[in-house]
Amino acid sequence: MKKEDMKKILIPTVIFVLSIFIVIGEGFYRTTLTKESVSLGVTIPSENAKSIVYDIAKQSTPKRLVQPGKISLATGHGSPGIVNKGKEPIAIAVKAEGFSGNVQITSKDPSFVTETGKFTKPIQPGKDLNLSIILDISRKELKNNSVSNGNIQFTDYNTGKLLTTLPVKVINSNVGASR
Amino acid sequence: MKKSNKYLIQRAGWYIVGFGLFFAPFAFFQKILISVFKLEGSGDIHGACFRMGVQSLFTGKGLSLLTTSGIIVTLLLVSALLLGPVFCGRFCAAGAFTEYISRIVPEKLKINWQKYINPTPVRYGILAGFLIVPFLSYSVACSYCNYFLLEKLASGNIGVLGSTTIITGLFWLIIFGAFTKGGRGYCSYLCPVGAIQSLLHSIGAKFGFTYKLKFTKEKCVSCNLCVKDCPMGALQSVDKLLKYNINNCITCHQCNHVCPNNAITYGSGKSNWNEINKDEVKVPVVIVTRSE
Repeated sequence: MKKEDMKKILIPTVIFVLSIFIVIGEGFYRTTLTKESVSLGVTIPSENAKSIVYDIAKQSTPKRLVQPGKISLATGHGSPGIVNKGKEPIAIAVKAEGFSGNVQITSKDPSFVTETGKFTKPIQPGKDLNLSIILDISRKELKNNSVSNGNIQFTDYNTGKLLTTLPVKVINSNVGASR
Repeated sequence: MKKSNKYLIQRAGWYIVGFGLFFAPFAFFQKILISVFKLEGSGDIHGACFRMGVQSLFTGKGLSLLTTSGIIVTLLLVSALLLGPVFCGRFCAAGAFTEYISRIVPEKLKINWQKYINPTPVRYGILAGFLIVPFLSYSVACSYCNYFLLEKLASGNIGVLGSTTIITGLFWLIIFGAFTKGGRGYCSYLCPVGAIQSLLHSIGAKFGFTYKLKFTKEKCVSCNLCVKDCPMGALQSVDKLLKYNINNCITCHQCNHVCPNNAITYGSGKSNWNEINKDEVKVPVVIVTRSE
C-alpha cells in the first residue's frame, strides 16, 4: 500500500478513536461532578431528615467561574424524591427559612403553587413528588467558611403539623474556619 | 434581496416551527401526542429526547414506541433514511440558533474548522463514544445537551448551570457556534443526533428511491456560492476543487437555492456526486465576484 493511501486511512482512524475517547472522558468528567448539585431524598413524615452539607470547594472550575453561588437541590436523576411514607394523603407546604440570599422553590407538579409553596393536590401514601430548590448566594458570602445555613420545612397545611425539617448547610472548605 | 438571504429567511421560518413543535413552553408535538394519543412523555424537550432514546435502543434497554420520544426517534430515523437529515436541516432550532448568530459575526473572526479537520471521523467517533459510554456506566445524554440549554435560554431563566452545561454552552454557542464559519461546528463535530441521521442518509442515498442532493456537473459554473453558503461546511473548495461530504450534509437546501444554474438539486434518483470520485466531485473552481 502506498504511503499516501496509508495516511488516508490512518489519520481518520486515529481521529475516530480519539473522538471515542473524548466522549468517554466527558462521561468520566461528569462522574466527578456529583457534588456540584444535590439530589433531594426525604421521607415524610419523619422526625430527623439527614442534613445536607454542600461544599463550594467541591465545584468544578467552570461552575466556580460562572455560577458558584447558584446551588440546586432537586429530586430526579435517580434520587428517591420526597416520598409520603405515611398511611394518609398529605397536603404539603414547603418553606425555606434561615438562608442568606434568595431561595426559589419550584416543582414540575402542576398542583404546586410557587407563590404559596403549597401542593394543592395531596400526596398519596407511597407516592413521591417533584421538587426543586435553588439557593442564590452572593459571591461575597462564598468567601466565608460557613456560607449559608437554613432549613427546608415540610408541613401539612391542613393541620399545621410539621412533617419534617431538612437542614442545609453550605460551606466553603477552601476557606479556613477561623475567618 | 439576494437569493441566499431570501432562502435564509424562509429557512428561519421552518426553525421557528421546529422550536414550537419540540421546545417548551410550546412543545406542541409532544403535547399533542400526550393529550390526543395518551402517550407517555413530558411536554418539553425531554419528551422529544432523541439522545436518550437512541442510547436505550443501542444498550439493549429497548425503545418503547408508545412514548413521545419513541415516536420522535422512529420518525427521525425513517425520515433520515428516506429524505436525509430533515430534522437538522428543517426543524433543529438549536443548530439554527448558532448558525444565525454566526451570520452576524464578521467573517474574519470565524474559523472554517471543516476545512482543516474532516468532520466525518470526528462525528462518527463521537456517535460511537456516545453509544459506548453507557456500557462503562457513564452517561453523557443529558449533561452535554445543547437542546436543553436552548430551552433554558429561551425560557429567560437559565436557572442553575452545572459545569457540563457551561462547557456545552462554550462549545455550542461560542467556539463552534458564533465563531465558526456557518455557525454549525457543534452540529458537524459533536452532535450525535445529527451523526446518526447522516449515517442513515449516507446509506439511504445509495438507493434510487430515496431523496438526496443531486449534482449536474455540466450545469456547474464554478461560482463557489454553494461553498460559501453551506452552513455545515459539507461543500468545500480544496485546491480549487469542489468536494461534497454527504456525511456532514444536513440537506438544508441552502446550496441548491443559492446555485444560479440549478447544478445542485434535491430529489430521488442518482446523486451523481460519485461520478468521478467516491465521495467527491472534482470540478475546476473559478472564483467569480458574487452578483447582487
